[in-house]
Amino acid sequence: MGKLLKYEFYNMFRNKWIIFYFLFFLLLTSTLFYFSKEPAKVAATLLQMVILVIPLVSLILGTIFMYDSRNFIELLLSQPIDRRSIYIAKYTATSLSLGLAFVLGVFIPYILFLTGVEGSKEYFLFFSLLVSGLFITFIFIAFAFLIAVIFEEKVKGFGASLLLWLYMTLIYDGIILFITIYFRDYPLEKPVLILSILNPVDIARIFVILQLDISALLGYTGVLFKQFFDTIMGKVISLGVMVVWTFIPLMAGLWQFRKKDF
Amino acid sequence: MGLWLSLPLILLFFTLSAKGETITVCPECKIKSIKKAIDLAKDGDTILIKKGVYKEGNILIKKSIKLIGENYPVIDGEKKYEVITVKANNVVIKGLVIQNSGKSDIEDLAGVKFFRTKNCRIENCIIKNNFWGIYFAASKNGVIKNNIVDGPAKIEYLKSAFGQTIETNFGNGIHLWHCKNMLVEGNHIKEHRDGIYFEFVKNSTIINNVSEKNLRYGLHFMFSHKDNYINNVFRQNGAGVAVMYTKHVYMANNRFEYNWGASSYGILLKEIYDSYMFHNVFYKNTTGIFADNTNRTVIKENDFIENGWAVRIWANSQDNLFKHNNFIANTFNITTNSFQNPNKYEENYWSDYKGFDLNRDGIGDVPYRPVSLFGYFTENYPQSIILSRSFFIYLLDITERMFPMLIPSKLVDERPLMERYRW
Repeated sequence: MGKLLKYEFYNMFRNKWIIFYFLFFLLLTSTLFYFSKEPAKVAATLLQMVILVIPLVSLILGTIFMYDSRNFIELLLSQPIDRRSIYIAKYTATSLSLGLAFVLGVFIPYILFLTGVEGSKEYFLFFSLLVSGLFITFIFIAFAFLIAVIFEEKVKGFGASLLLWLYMTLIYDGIILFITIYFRDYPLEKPVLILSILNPVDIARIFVILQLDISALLGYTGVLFKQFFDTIMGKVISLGVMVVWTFIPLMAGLWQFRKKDF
Repeated sequence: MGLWLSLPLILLFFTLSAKGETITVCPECKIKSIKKAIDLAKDGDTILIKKGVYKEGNILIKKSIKLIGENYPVIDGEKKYEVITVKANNVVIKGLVIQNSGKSDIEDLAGVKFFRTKNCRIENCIIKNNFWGIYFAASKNGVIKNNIVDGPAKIEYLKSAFGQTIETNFGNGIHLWHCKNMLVEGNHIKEHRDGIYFEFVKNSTIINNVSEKNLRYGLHFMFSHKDNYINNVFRQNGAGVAVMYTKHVYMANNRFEYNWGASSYGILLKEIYDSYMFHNVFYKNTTGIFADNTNRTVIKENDFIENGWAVRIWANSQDNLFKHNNFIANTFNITTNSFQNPNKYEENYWSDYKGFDLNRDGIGDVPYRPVSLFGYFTENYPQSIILSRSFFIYLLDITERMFPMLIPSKLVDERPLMERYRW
């Protein structure tokens, strides 16, 4: 297991995609800070990256890596190695290095530009942004691996990834909106709250808007949402949901991988 | 301007011509009681109160005298009495600490109450822990200047609504009722029910005050025509500022900030006619301006920054003009419950405007629609606020702005500015 992990990490850091990914966030965040000087505004743009780009890139890169290393996996399987270790080692290396690329790409410019910012430094905002981004990476890499294990054909795999991405970022919010409109005569705060907790992308978004759109969230029913997410209980629950969302696709993928006929 | 210059001169003339005697009051002097000094005094005399604590129940002034404190003597109402009641003209109260008035459900017991007076002044006083702070009723030409009015009402008391501590258990900081030609200047009011309360007050000015952390409104303003309020700061009040049932109000250079809550507004305009808002800053309020039946009002060169709703304007508000305002980083710029647009929006700066300017005249070539579809959704289905900044909502907003169906298609700024308007 240790050796496998070491090899996988080594493999990841040689990978040009990871370097691109890291440079992308580094350049983007630096440019944003260079032009705006206000951490809150930078976070607003980065939020769109977290809820759009990270899921998409994680899904696509995850499936690419899995399909590309098929030959190597088959080679490994001919050795007396536990299938679980192979899968877990690959998952850990991929998700950690992508996550690290994101965290460093945002964190380094943030620290560098911190001295020059005007107004609030927004430590907690960036902390929640980084944590959300990290979890979104973990979750969507796990999904990517699951998809790559289920579908033999690459095209089908990519199609499924895109569908999942569309569902999580677009269709799910559409459903929530539809429900609020269709059932407007009922007290909807709690159902909507529960629905949005169930989607990890929405949790990440809500954590950040809790600080960005605080003025608006304090009006009307927004207060309820703020009260929930601002308590320790609310934070623990949302983190718990993130963890559960990581483990469901990971375990499902592992299960598929173990019984799969290569 | 001429009036303002000549007023001090006239006052100076009066003080010179009617120079009376000075009676000194202090705990070690011959006269130890303020009440006794008032008994001895004639119209035009000055009572000089030296440092000390005076607990004399209700002090009633029925002569035109001056009450001047030296080193801030404390006049205490022992939580039973109205501390000072003035029922004479030309009374000046200066440099006192007035504290602990009584509390009553029947009477409005105040720190200092002026009743049917003319030309009275209260200056440089510290009004502390009273039921009502400074109270003027049926008075003319009064001046309230540079006082600190510090009340007992804390926001957390509101939470125990069924206990002893509800809103009506507190009075207003500066309360003016049925007055004319008043000046409220440079006061700092906090932790009362309403910071400054104006009802039936005409031709008056509120200038350079700070009103914060009040339970209800920082400024509560009703039936008070032709008033100005300028250069004030209204901060963290339970419900912001309310200006209601009034014509010809001039509001300029005020700051409305951090008024947070479901029914909290930077400013609530209800039944306002022919008024003028100029150079105000709305910063981080849940709602910047809430306009309900506001007509023929000009809102010009104001800044709306990081509010939840910069402007919520209802269909019963007509013929208002929004010009040269800066709308920066608000969650919603304008929301309305109307499909029509009876108001005018022109040459404002909208920070989320995405148009271009080919001829470089500083005015965008593409009209801007300040009402977003998401704004429409939150106005009608409040729970949808949780979808703020969702990609789905972003796509919907873009398509709706291209082909408006749900948002009022006539509500449009034809000439949006490319850069922030500098004023």
